[in-house]
Amino acid sequence: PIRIVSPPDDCNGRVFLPCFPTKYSLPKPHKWLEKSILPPQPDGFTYQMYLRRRPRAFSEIEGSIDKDIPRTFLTNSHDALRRILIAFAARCPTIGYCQGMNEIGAVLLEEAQGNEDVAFWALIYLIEDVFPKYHEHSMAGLHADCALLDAWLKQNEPFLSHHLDTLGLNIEILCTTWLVTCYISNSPAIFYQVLLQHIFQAPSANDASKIPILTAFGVFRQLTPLLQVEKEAGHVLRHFKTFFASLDSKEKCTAFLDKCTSLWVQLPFEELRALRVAHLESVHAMFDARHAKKEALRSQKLSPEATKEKRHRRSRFGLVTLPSPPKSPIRKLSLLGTNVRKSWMRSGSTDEEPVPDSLALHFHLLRTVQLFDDEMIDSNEFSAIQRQILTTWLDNQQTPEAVASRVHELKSSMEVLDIDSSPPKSNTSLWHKAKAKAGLNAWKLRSSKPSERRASAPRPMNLSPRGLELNEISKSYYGNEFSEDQRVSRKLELISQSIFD
Amino acid sequence: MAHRKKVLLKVIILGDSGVGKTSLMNQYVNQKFSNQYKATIGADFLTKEITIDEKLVTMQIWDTAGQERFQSLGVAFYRGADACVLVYDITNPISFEKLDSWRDEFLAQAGPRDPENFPFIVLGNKVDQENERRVPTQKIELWCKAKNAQQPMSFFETSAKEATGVEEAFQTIAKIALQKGQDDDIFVPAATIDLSGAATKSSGGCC
Repeated sequence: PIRIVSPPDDCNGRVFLPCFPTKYSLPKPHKWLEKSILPPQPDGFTYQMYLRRRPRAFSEIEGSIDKDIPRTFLTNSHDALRRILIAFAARCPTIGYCQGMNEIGAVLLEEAQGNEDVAFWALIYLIEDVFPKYHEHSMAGLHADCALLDAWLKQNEPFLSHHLDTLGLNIEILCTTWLVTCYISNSPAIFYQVLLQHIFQAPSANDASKIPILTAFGVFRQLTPLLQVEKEAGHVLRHFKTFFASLDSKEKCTAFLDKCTSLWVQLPFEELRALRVAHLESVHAMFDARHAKKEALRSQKLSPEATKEKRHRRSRFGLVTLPSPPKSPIRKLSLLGTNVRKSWMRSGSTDEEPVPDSLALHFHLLRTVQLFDDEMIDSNEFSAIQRQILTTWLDNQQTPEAVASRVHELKSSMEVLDIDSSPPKSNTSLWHKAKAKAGLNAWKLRSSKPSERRASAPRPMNLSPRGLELNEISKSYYGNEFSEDQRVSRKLELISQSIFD
Repeated sequence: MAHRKKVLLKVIILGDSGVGKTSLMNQYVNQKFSNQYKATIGADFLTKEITIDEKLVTMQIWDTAGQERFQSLGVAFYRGADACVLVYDITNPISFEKLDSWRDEFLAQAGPRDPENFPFIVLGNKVDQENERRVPTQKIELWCKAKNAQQPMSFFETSAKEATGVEEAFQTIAKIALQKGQDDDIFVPAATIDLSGAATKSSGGCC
């Protein structure tokens, strides 16, 4: 029976049919890596030419390759592996070297029986043409394919998708290694060899690029019944490991890959490409948002003095008593007024260490706030002094642009501080929220259907003494004229009133 | 409050490639050392049950890839983290200098509620290679103080190979994370108040 789950709108996915027997066979059992199957290189560059070139950021790339080569166990020809990886970095600077390529390179070298030339071009074919930019510095292609797998899972195995989410797992956690190393670091040799055979013998790179992602989807399909009953994230991970470990014979691999094949014949490459483009767009939007967030964090992050300031500013609205400000200059300021202001500012913090202007300004404004808090100045004086501090500060700025940007920065930082300033404030908002919620509950109860009402009405046994009291009150007000439901809703209103008013 | 859910602490290990993150995790969880670990791609985790102040705690320890480009997956990996272990290699000054960037990146991507007080711990690994040390202890001490003068991060010098300091370090981070979690529980009351159930809860809590 075909179970079609209705796809959510705009999620850029696809509903797959269940796996069915396919006639997609492997042409030849061995020797899948041959020079003839590799794409011709139109630019006429040879492996030897790349070997002579040095990649950009050579020392960095060399450093990370050298760290990984001794821990690549699939090969004994460390020098050859090192050469093809460095030649790859020279050819493709946008990728350079990505961890995981060492594993792929080692397998290719092995299969090419040490022929570096063949292994090199095979690596380029895989990384540049088959995998959709998984290994690039931003790993955008990997993000996009993970998002795509996520969409497929949501549509085809909604329960599993939700279940994994509640366990704190996601596609990125589970699939990164599979995709980045082409299953080499997860599965027995026989499995990744058969898989690579499929990839290299696919009619085109486009066809080949369906294989890794759909195999991942196939793994989820295969394990869904097991995974969705697991209660712990660790056990879910163990199922994947056990599953891959079980693919240790040609028969088992073929049986599983047959199922995957039925997935990849369902999906035309054009559709996959369109889906990838759509997800890539959202990935780039996500990158932009993250970049903006990081910039914001960076500008917020000032020196330790700033954190101190923030704390003080907070306490203005809070319960914490302020440490009393340094007395002498402040008294002078409050008593003598504006003439002393400049000397006070000088004696402030600008003398020895170079403090950013905006920071100094913050500091001075803060002191004014403290004065006001300590009732040394009244609100008129407070605003006058603040105004003067600001004007002086602005006069000292050289360019209009600097003024604009600094004022903006100041404003935004003040806003942020005000929002998260004090415990009472956040409590208030919480109470307002709860109040609104209580009102909504009461309203829902009044307006909902009788059957639903019964379900959501609280059982009287659950009430605390206070609740019982309110119950009595409501009874005395409304007697038995009110139906049970009306009484309950009225009671809820009373309770919320008594709590919030 | 007496009825607490089973405590699960998600601890993320971060640091440059090759500083020994996988080895530290395996030494702590399995008491085993091997110099045969492959480079970690993406993320992996192991769990360990420990008892802290008579409370059973499940530590979920996450080992991550050290290569910089895998940081872009941080949002997915760090979600819901309770603590973070920063690791550098005492024989490799660059790995020490990168601590700042690991910390910042973690805070940016995990987005904890209170970044200034998020539980971090710093481990200088490979003390078994003392004769090749290139990051003096004072340097890391200063770094920890510079990050938070009031409450400097705890730091340990460890050897995953010889199991030096590993147990203590993870115990410490578990304690700090647990403490922090409890503080947060006190300060952040439940977001919604269910009036029908509130009565039972309050009557249970006040006695």
